[in-house]
Amino acid sequence: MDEQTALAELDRRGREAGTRLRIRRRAHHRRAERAGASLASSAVVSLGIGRGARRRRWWLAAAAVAVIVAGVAGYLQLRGGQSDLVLGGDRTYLVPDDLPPTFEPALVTQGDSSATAGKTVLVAYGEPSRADPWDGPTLFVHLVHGAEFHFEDSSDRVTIQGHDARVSRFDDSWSVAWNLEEGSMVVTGRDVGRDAVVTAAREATTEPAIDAEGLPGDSAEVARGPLDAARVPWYLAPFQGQQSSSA
Amino acid sequence: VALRYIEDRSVAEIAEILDCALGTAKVHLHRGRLTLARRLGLLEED
Repeated sequence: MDEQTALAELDRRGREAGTRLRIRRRAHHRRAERAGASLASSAVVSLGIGRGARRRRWWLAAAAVAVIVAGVAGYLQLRGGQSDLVLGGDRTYLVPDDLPPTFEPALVTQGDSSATAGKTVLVAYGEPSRADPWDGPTLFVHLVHGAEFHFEDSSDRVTIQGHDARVSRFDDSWSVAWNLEEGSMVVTGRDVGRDAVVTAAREATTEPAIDAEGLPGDSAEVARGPLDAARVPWYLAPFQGQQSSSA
Repeated sequence: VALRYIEDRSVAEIAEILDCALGTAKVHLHRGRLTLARRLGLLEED
């Protein structure tokens, strides 16, 4: 590809990425406002650009630009088909800012996923009919290879497919975890009740996947991708102190 | 590059934001686009 063609393609992707990011950023702001959350704690990067900005220290602008360029590069790579993240059909919502803040880095930093690619895959389920599936109930399933949880007797116990499992609550999420020969299975639900998460866990497979019988009525797979190893500890936060090894 | 693609700014606006000459902004933008194109595999590395 010659330089002119390459730059034209870059501009096309960049315009598309920029448009989507701005749309998602506005949606994110609307959600944050609805939730009464402070934008200061938002994951969205805002340059705060205006006429007064020229007096700002250059390194602040450079740092902000570096962060955003990294995000754009990741997004463009994702859109350019160089990612092993699977986007089914005409789904266009799986972009930075779409994802729940705690899962976003795992799915955006595709370039750093070599250590976990094909090994620790996270699958997300939501309601595809929503304009933004991440704004509704979501379920996640993940097999942590090589990990084994050691549960405390006092924790919330359930039986999943004949295995002793534990239920934990973490912020607005419920998680169910149990040990298998291959590793530890974790099913987490956001904005989903405890019973629904346990039901989903009972239909979980090591693919990993959750069979349709275990999903709420309108839910379907909305994302599948490797989990960044750096994010595994956060993902397992509900079980801190209960894990003997990690992926 | 971020200002161009994410903030949808014109080169003149970018130059004003960065407090540099229009030509300087154009050069930086061109170099940045080339770098990004190479990172994305659209252009071969030098």
